[in-house]
Amino acid sequence: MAAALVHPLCSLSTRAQRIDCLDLTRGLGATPRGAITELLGQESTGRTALAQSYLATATLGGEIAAWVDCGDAFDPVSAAKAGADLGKMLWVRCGHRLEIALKAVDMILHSGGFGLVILDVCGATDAALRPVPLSYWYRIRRAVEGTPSILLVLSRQSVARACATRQFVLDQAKLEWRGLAPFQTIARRKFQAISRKPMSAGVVALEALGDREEV
Amino acid sequence: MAELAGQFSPLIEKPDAEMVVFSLAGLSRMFGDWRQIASEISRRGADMGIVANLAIARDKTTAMLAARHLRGVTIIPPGREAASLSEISIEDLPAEPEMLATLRRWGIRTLGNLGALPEIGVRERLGEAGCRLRRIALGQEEDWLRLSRPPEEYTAREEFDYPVELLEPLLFVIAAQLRDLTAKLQRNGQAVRRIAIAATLDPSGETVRSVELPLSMRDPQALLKQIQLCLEAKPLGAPVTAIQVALDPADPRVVQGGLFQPTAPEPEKLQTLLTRLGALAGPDRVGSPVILDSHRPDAFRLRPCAFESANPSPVASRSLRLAFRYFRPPLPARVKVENSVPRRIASERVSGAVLHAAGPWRTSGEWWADTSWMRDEWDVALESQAAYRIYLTPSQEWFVEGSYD
Repeated sequence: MAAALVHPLCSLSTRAQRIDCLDLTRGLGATPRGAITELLGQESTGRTALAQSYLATATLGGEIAAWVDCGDAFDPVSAAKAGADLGKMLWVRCGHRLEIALKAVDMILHSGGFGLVILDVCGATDAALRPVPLSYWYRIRRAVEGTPSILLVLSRQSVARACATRQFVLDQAKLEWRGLAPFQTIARRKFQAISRKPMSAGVVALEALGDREEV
Repeated sequence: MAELAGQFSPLIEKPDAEMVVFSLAGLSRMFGDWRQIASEISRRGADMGIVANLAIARDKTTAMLAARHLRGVTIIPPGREAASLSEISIEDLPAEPEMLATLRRWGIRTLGNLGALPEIGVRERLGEAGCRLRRIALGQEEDWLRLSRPPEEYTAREEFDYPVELLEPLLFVIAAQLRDLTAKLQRNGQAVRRIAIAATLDPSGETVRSVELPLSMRDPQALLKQIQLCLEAKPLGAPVTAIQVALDPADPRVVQGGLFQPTAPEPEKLQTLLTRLGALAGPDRVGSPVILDSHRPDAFRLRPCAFESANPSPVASRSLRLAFRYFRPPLPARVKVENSVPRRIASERVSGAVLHAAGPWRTSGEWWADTSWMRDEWDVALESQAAYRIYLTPSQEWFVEGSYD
């Protein structure tokens, strides 16, 4: 009983071993603690929507989150609409400088105490990402291992490669509009998610509601 | 007067700006009896140009009454308190106006009159408060000194035999200073919110660096790291011949943690992290976002982070919401328009035929300020199935503001 009490409460979710694509829609269930999870996909595939929903889950759960924004793309209004508590997050704007983003993630993980760390390198080009040595990602994996932190990487393609414990590939399916032309708003965007690591045959369909209010 | 009192005793009370009360305990062995002590105090007071009444008595209250209402030097030997105070008016007693009015109705005018009243009768009619006044009148009220402590200074200065050029040996000296200063802070139950470092430079000149801490702390290692990061960001610029560290004391932080609260970054480590991230990315690029009360697109500011452990809020099941990703700065674009509807976009990162366009949404505002804006927005879906927000400015320039992701 005593051992159960002194066990870090926030690491309990690491015990859930079986994680599949469906967990993507269940809060932080798909993103194991103490490991790197990658959300991969092209533009408009729902990477940011999923990441912001995780941000909301973490901050409303009382955890402190960090968003390391390589391309200065983060929108606080979207995050607030997703339910995130902006007062419980640290936003690091790296000004399109990938090296600074990687250093910032390293510092944040070594500092400790952050429940969720999101590295957003969606805007970085392949030419910028390719030269990052794998050893750097091993260093980051070592920093996150054994901690109750979740490291979530948003990117077009896998950057952490072998160091990522989970990889989900997102793809866009359908964009639905509502209202009368020409003053329409995006009603919802449907996505598909495939678990590439661990490999899963299933495809899960996700959908996100539109950003604008209907007129 | 406090300085004069400080020459005789460390046990000093300052009841108000015009009076100082201090203990004579132990002075008789140095100066002799009360008369000789009074003579010495008078002499030193005259040397310092102080003109004041002086009273010496067995208890504090009697001495205060005598000093306030009897001119010159008054020495009240033990047992003579009542006689010495007898001529003082009852109006000078620390009593409620109603109580004084009652005494006046009884014909009591002086402390001598009050002291002559029987104790039992006073207790029956005026209660404990009346008995206390009677004890004061008789010089029998015993009260302790409420010691006032001089404001503590947390300053350490070190002069070097030769100018120090490198930061590392300088930090070595500062670390020793911080250890002493933080130990003193801990003894006094205080912490620090601001650090000032004054350096005397070689061959001449002085420079000051200050570090503002968002939270009070007193861990010497954390403070040293803050100083190091400050001096790395803003070097002193010349060899240093003397260094002075001054800490502004503040009340320590009081935090009550909870067993079921999620972990949060330790404040000391968080402060170091923020300083390092500020040095890395830019101090204005790190913080917690705050959405401004404005309809202006992308209106936000960053505020310094100050996280505290909090109990989890109940998380309601939420639908996934489409997020917006900004291109900062917006991408200039060439847009082909047919029948007032965008048909094709060409820009550095976003290009393609427009499959669906919704708009224009005309927004404008803050015409009274430098932040005024006016534009027509469109939400467009390209043939790649990606959705973007584009806008047209009054100067007929198109920009891609961001994407829906």
